[in-house]
Amino acid sequence: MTGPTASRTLPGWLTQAISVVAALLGIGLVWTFVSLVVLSPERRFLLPPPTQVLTTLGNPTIMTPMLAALGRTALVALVGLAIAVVVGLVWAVLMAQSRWVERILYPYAVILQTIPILALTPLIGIWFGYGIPARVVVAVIIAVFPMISNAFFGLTSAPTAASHDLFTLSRASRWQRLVKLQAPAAVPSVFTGLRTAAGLSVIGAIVGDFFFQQGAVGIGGLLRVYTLRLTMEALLTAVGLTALFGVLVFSVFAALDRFVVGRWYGR
Amino acid sequence: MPIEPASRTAQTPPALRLSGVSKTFEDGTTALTGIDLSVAPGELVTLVGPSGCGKTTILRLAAGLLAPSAGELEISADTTSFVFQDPTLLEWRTALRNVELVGELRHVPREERRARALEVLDAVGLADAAARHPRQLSGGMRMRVSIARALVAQPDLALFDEPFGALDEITRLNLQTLLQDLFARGSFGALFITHSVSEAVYLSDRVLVMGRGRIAAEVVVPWEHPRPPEMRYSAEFVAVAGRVSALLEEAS
Repeated sequence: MTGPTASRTLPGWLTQAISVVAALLGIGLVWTFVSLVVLSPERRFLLPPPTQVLTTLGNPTIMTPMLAALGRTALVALVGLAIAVVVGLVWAVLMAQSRWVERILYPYAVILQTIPILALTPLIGIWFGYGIPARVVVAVIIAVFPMISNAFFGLTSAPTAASHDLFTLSRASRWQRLVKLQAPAAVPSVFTGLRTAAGLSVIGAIVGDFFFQQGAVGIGGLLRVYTLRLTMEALLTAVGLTALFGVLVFSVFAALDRFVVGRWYGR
Repeated sequence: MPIEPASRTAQTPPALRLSGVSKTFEDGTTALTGIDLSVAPGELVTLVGPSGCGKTTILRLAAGLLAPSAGELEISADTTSFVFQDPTLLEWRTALRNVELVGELRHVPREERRARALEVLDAVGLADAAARHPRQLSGGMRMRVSIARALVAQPDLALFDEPFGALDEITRLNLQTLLQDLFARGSFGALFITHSVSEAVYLSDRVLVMGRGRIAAEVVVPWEHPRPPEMRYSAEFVAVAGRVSALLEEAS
């Protein structure tokens, strides 16, 4: 957010844009300095100057496969996210039905969250093969926990005790309580979960690319190839693109969150 | 202690009757002992008392949200409504759809429940705010929606749990006038909790004074409904309020 003095002189988005550009310029300057001044010419390949990296953007032999790979990863992330949303919501609704179900299911949600994905990759490979389905599974495992926990929190904690009493006094059925009270009250938390899960599904898809290289290559697979070949310009471009893509996904879901939740409360 | 129903409804059986009701919670705290209380159809009874004297427990018993530990509880009202301390509106629904909720839960056909909800919103002075969400309403307006939601079910018995406690003085007086007016026009019995003596005297036919889990005294308020708002400043009103205050001090 902008400070009071800034908002009096410049519109918010402009100050925001200026600070983003300033930060990028700052990073570019430090980068150039490290590359050209700190590193000796024979070690410069470790961090080529930004101008050299940016030229890869105009090189179709690098960019065409890179963008195709990014597209594949995006698709894996999207499919993974969709599955994580469905699984997470069903999981949360089941847990919200009774303490008993919660006690049975919650530990598994926590295990999914805490177990390092590295430990699961051999199993995933054996069960789902070493191609695209395995990558989707990784994306699901990484993205599902925030969906479960946020939706569960929303279903159980968002409705007040008095609103539960209101439903009890109207002799509402369990189904009516779920559909007319708990689920609508959970909408803001669900969208918070969705925002987090969307970002994580991208990370999951890239991690999946990295481990499961059969089939068409994803951006994570390319990162590995570039690393092995020490093509630093392409590697840095791919990292930048991946970061940009992550920011884009997060922003889209943050905007969706604001839009839907805002309308939900009639703003 | 025998409690007579108000004269205008003496013949009909009570909408609510508690005889010798006690309530002890699982943790061993005794909230109520030997409560005898009845609300006749069309009678408005208030319970006044300090915080923690068991007023809300009585209301939750009357609503069927709690069961008594001893004694008898008779609810002969077919439909009971509850107005909570907080308006308890569903934030994602407009004022109209909040009022419609009860009908929805009881499977009242859409046209019918909508027409009825609009009618009641009009009665509480919110016809123009039907399409607004709770966040776009003031505290007083939200409480009006809450009252409309309680009355839309055409209850025989309405239970009020200190509904105006959190409102500013002017809003509070306006809502008292509104409720008094709705009550005069309606045909429901009501049990109303408050810790404001003047609110109790202005609204009710009988004031029950509570202290330490018991009903300590009863004051009959003799005036017919509807009551003009300026009556709160009359000498008779002040005299009755003074008596209730004195009893309240004795009881607590």
